Amino acid sequence: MSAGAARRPVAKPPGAKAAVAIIGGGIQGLMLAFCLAERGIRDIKVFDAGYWQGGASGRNGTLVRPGFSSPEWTRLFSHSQQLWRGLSRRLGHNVMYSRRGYVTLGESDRTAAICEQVVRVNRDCGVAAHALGREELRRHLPLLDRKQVKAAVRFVDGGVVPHHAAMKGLRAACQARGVDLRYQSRVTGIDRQGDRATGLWLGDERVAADCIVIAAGAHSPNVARLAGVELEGRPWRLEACALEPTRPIFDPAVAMLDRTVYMHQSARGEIVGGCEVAGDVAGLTLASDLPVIAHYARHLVEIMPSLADLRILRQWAGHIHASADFGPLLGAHPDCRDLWISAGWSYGIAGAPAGGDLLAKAIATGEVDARMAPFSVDRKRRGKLIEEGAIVVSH
Amino acid sequence: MAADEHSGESVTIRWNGRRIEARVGDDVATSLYAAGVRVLNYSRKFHRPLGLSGSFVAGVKGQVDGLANVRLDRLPVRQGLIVEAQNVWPHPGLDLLQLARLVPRRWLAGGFEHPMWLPSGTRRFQIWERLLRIAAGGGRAMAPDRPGAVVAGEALGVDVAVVGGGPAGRRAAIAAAAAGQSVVLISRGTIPGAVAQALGASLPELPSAVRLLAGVEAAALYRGGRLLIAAPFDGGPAKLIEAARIVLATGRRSTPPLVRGADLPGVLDLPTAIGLLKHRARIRLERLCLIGTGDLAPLADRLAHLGADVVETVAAGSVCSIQGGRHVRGVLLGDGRRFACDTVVHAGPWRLDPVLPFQAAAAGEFRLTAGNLPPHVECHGGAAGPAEPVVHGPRLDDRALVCPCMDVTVAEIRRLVDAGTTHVEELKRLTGCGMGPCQGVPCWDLLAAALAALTGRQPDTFGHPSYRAPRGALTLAQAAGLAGLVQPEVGP
Repeated sequence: MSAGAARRPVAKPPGAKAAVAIIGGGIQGLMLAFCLAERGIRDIKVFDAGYWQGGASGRNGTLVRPGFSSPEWTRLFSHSQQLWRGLSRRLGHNVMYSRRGYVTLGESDRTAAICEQVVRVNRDCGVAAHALGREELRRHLPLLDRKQVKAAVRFVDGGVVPHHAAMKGLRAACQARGVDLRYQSRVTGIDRQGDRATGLWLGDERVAADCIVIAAGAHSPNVARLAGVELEGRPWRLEACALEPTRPIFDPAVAMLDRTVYMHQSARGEIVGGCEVAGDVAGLTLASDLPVIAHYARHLVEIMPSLADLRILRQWAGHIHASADFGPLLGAHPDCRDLWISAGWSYGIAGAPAGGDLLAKAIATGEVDARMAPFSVDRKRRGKLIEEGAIVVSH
Repeated sequence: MAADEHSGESVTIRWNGRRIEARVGDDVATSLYAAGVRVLNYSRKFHRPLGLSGSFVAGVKGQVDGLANVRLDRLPVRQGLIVEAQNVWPHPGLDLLQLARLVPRRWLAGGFEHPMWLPSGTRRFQIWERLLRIAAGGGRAMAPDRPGAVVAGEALGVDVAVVGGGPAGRRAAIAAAAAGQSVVLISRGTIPGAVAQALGASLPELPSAVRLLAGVEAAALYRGGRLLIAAPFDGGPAKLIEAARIVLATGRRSTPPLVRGADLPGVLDLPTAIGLLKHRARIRLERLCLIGTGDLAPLADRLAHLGADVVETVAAGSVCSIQGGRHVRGVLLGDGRRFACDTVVHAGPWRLDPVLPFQAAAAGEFRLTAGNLPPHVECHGGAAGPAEPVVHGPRLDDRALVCPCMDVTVAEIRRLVDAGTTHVEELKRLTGCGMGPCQGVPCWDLLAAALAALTGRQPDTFGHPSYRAPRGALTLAQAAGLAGLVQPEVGP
């Protein structure tokens, strides 16, 4: 019995039973629920403590990309990218995946070398990623002060997925397949019998489950503790902002490795993006702060001076669950049977289709796909962290 | 006051190519109103005409010297200024986006932009998305070689920061200065308290010890109200103010009734009407219908004294709809009476400006909600409340707009409520309500009123989405100038 369950009163009338109970109704939880339902699994329940789109799935930068500097990340995320392209038809709802390309910029020798490595690794993995010459860069990003750029890589298949469309499509598709979605329903305990997870609690309501999945974003380590197990990583607050809309200024999604800046121009015309500031506050408050927008603004004015007079419409904060190597924690939990994890995502919207697809495959068939295997939940403990240099998070 | 008077000097500006005479000291929106231009912009989806209102910011956005989204009500005129309507295509003379008005409104409800006949992953979706981006309501993109640079910010440490230059704000500033404290007073108006003065209030003179920041927006409060950001409208250096005590004397704002036509050009809130009458003595606000709460007779006299032609005075709650095509033509009351008029001025219901108090007190893991104000933040004067309830006429009208800038109608909210969605954050994400340039003021009050009428619950049980900083008040150049003035706050 877990500590959480020990405090519970004896079960009230037998509650519901689920084949799979997913904790977290963000994009990972919904994508997994959909993929499981597609495989014919019934009695899927999803619980979320917040409101629909209240977590990182409604607060992220919406950038998606297929390639990175490590083969592990590239294999997983290029699979995801393939799935994004066909997802509207699969769901029967338009997720607005926009294949506008994704440009990664290096402004130092260090990051220029990473860009070269990205091109090499992606070629080996069969992903279209091209080093951009100066003229091509001007064509894709006319507003960029190109003098500062040492290397640029463009992923043909990258782009953006607006979360309002993706989450709406996923919710509707899940509901159409009989998935029971419950928001503002906080899981307060997870039951264990011996080494197995057997059910969960929402206040005094118990739900028995053959299998429990934690997909609770930044809250995942806390939720794992309800089952008496540890999940490495910590909540990490990120902030983003939107500028007032204009007609199209540039097309691709953009990541600047040296500045840890990411941005794109949305279908609503707003330039949406953010950056990281070393030492920014950890913990789980959603209140936004000044340093991130101030530094983001400074980066933009430095490298895209023509934007300087645009106004900041709004800023907001959200949380990711930062694992030790910022890669997802995907698979069975090693310390508890029937407890599965889809957490640790820092590129969650990019990776969600692959995460849902491969985890559903593992849950339904027991087979761990080779693209998922490197992202095992206990890789830190086993000393198998993945080195990935082309992500826009500070190390 | 000397600053109140115009030099009388005349300048010429251009509006969509047309020459307009304006007087030095006026802003562009006022000058255009004086020249008979009521429609300044168009809404994002339905392409409804919008103008100067005091309530809905999209109505005063224009394209100025190659820059989109400039607030015309805060831009002083100057010789040769070139101003254009921004949400038009291909140009103001031939605006094909007007065809959007022929589209049934239901087709453009939230989610219209992701229809399944244009699924992503196809080439036709990419073309569609491009069209969406062009039509998104913003102005033209700036030239890639437009120059730009960081505007260095300024850090200030004071004993007291006062927001609002009306009588309450001035009293708080004067008292603090008299006690030997260092005081900064932030006022949107270039003449703090001018509207209160025009309404007959006497303004105590500010001592020179009070540092006055006029023409400046108090853009945001961070860190539980310990950091106040103030941004001059003219793009000058933003201020980062650390104050031991913060006085919010932001007064009350009149909220338009939630009725059909309340978004029409010619519907003005009281301060905006006063601004027009005060700054352009030559404007006679013709055939003005005053609506509002409380005793309106003295106000009607005051407006008449300032040069308005007040034809009717009615309680805001009795208004059924405001009629007109491109601007106001009349007011229809619940009892069937109709008045012809050219201007509707609303003076109530009076609501509070919720943004800074929310930011000072907001906390939460799953949702930001406003708690109690921290002890060093106080609300003075009208800002201390209470607020009056929003009015929506005898019957909630499906055609009334909850959020005019983003074209969210009561009908759209009704459909979502009928489908089981009443959470304001979800409604915001499904409709875009409050995500335009007003950032939820006043639309989230209107949303709560609509929800209350649709569900039978009290408006205050719904809460409102997070009031997010910096509400369009900071340019990137100004924000960039604040980097380095403040260190990241490292959590536990």
